[in-house]
Amino acid sequence: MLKRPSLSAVSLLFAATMLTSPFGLHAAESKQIARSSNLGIELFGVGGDDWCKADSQLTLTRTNDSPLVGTEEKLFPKIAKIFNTECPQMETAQVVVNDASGATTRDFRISKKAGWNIVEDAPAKTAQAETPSNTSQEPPAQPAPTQTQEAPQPPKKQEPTLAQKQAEPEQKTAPAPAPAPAPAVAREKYVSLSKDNLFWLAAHEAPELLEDNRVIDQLATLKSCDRFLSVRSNEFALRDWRQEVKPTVVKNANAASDLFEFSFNFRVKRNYDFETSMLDIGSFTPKTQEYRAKCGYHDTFRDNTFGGRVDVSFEGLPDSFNRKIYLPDELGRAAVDRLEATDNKVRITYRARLKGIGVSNDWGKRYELKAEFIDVKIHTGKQFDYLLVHHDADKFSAAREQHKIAREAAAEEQRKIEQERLAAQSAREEKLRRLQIEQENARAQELYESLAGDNAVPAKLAALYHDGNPAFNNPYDVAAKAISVGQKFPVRAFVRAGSRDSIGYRAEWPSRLYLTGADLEEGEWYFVSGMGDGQKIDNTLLSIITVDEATKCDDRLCMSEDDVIDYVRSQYPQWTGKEE
Amino acid sequence: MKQENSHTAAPAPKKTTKIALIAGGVGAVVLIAGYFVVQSQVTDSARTDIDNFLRNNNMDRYVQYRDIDASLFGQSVTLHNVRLDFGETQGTIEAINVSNYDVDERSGHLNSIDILLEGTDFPINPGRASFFQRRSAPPPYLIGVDAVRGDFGMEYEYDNVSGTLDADVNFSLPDLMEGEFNIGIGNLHLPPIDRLASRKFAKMSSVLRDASTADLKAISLSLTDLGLENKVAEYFSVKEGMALDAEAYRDHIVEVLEKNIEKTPPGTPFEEHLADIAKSATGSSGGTLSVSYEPEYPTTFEDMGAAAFGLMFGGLGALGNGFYQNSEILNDLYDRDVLKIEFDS
Repeated sequence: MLKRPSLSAVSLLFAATMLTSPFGLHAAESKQIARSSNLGIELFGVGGDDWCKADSQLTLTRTNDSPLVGTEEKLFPKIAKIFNTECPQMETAQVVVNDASGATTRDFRISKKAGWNIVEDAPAKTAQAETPSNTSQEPPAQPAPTQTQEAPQPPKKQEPTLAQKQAEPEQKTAPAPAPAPAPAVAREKYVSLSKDNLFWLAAHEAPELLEDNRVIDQLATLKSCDRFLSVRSNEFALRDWRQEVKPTVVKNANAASDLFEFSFNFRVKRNYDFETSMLDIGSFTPKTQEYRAKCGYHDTFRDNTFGGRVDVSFEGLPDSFNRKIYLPDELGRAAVDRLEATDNKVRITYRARLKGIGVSNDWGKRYELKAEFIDVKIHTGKQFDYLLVHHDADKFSAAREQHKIAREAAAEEQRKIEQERLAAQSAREEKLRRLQIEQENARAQELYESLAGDNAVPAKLAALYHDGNPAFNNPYDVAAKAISVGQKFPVRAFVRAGSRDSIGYRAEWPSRLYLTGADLEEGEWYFVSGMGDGQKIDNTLLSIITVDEATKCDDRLCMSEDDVIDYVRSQYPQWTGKEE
Repeated sequence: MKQENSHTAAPAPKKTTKIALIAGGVGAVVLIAGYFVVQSQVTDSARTDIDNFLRNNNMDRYVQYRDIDASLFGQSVTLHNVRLDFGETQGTIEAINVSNYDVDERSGHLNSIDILLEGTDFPINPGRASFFQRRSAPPPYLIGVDAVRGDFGMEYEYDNVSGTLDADVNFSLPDLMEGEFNIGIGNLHLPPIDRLASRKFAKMSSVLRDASTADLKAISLSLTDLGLENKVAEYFSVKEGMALDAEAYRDHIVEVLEKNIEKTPPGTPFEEHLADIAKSATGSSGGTLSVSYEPEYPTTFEDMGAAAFGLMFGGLGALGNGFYQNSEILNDLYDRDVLKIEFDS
């Protein structure tokens, strides 16, 4: 748009104004598809609500300090899921990259078939050098790597940085369903799965660790420890050595590749099924591989920083990659012949892509890399030159897609089951809650009936009136128990005070009881608490209560029916009321 | 002559009378003296026998008495002011009278004996609680009974030829209760008294074995309340926290009982009769409860034991039918007047 020579002065002014606020511009004429403040990017579909087409126009606006500067194309495989959701019919897209000032820095074409990587017919190119109007713009932090660029020591990588992964951990590369391999992948150089490559990769994936001198030491001594050992005891020599090696280390780390190739030899258990013409040679998923740096003293840093160890764990092979190979007729015979000739030895050649990096903190920190398979070939024969089976990238992509669909279907089924379970549980809980309410209501009614009407127990009512505790003792047991245990003990009793004599108040009810320790009114009902004892008076065993607290009742029934209802409601607030 | 005769004739009857009086007096003195001498000898003999008995059975330390009185004509021995001391159990008995004591000299069987304990007084004290001390009824001291005071009597008659035994036990506890227990047994052949007194278990077990083949002719129990019911009622009123005196609490229980009977009416005439008795006995004090069982045909104790066992555990019988079987059996006994339960207020 800015290149049009026919723009009027007003249009140029408007365009310049809009360029100064790129986000506002795109918000006005485009539809926002994705945004990440961590990555400092916003992605828009050009054309407003009608942006979605088979060949769409996209605008990526980024901040100048975005970690994607120069490598913006790495974003799109990560957000393939968004494309699938927002615009499933989109097959290709032309992407224009704008910086914070609104200046176009790059443009390139991406394709769904290529896994939303850059397609060859529209190779990535830097825009700033070609656009005269962008000459004043700030160049990207580093030149955008191209697919053909030669990495010095370790091959270059193609994956997003760790920062991107941390910002968008849920975004995963969508598998390319098309059978044809993406050209960008096809031209990748695969490096061997060696400790050197892996350490470079780990450093590349976690560049912030390069700030730690010990990581620099580790990477610089992968080939040899000699220089390091000669300088490490001298602080200045060590500093000079680090300054010398650090640029190379950083450069190598930045240029590391994420594609591996490696082989393992196995002896398999062979079985050919004539009914299905399937040759069963087992499955081959490498175990987690562990690599250690040459200089062993890096293994454990005392302050618990990264040690000289990298673990690589591999994805499980998709379900469709089972152990059985369809080899009918002569193919099966030839395969079996060769397997027999080699005592069932096979060589598996794997090609894998680094998917991510993690950090383990147990027994000292270490890198944990994860890899997914791109290509697997299984050879047999004396020279391992007879190809038994070849799982190429298409197969893996299709299998992963199939596996993903199956997993999603299983997840959906599980979700339905879970919903049904939750619904059933909710119904049960509701039923249980109703039952609990009914039971509590029944208990409240039972409590009411035990306290009121014909079932009223005067001593219990008096005890409740006394301190809310319905318990009371049998005064006639007090004397015998005190003699039995040989000491006084706490008692609670309902009594009617009688006349006072030299011993105390002889109770009117119950008759064989004395009350001491408090002033009581003769003929009145009391609920008393205190210490109980027993003593023979006039050759009769009597209980004696030394009163600590006494609550006077107006009558034999200390609580009215209304008092009882209030008490029951205090115990069971949800009680709906007495039932007649 | 006449005068002389008359004179001489007159003093003759006087003299005879005098002689007779003198002789009678002497004879009376001799008889009285003899009675006292014999009485004294009988008493001494009885004292000696009792002392020997107590000593030989190592009971002289536990049983002591102040005086002994043996009656020559009444064929009775009375111990006065008896003191019993068995450690935790101590008490006194004003008099123990043993009479009608008849032991066949040749066979050694005890044919009859009457024992009367007058003025017993055994204090009851609350003891230490025991783990196994679980009672459905409260201990006496909890209902205000601090001693067993009263009279106890027992009459025993045994005929070894017919094998019949009649025993009667009665007691009177003032302010509490009086009662009488009678039992008549036939076809019972007891061993001699010396073997009965043996402590050897094997012989006791043989006695029990022999007794199991005896027949129960009749048994009866009569209890008259003299205040015990009110004491128990008062205790439960206090225990339940009802704050009612004994009379009012009994009325309350009668009300509860009537409600329960109304809810679950008696199923048989016997149950109805029992319910009436329960209401009458609970509602009034001072009545007499009588229970008697007189089988139409002699029933051995062995069969009685099996029947009693069945009755006791009938409720746990197969599928609960036992309860109804028991009810039917008891009702049948009641209908035929074999089992009588009466209450007289």
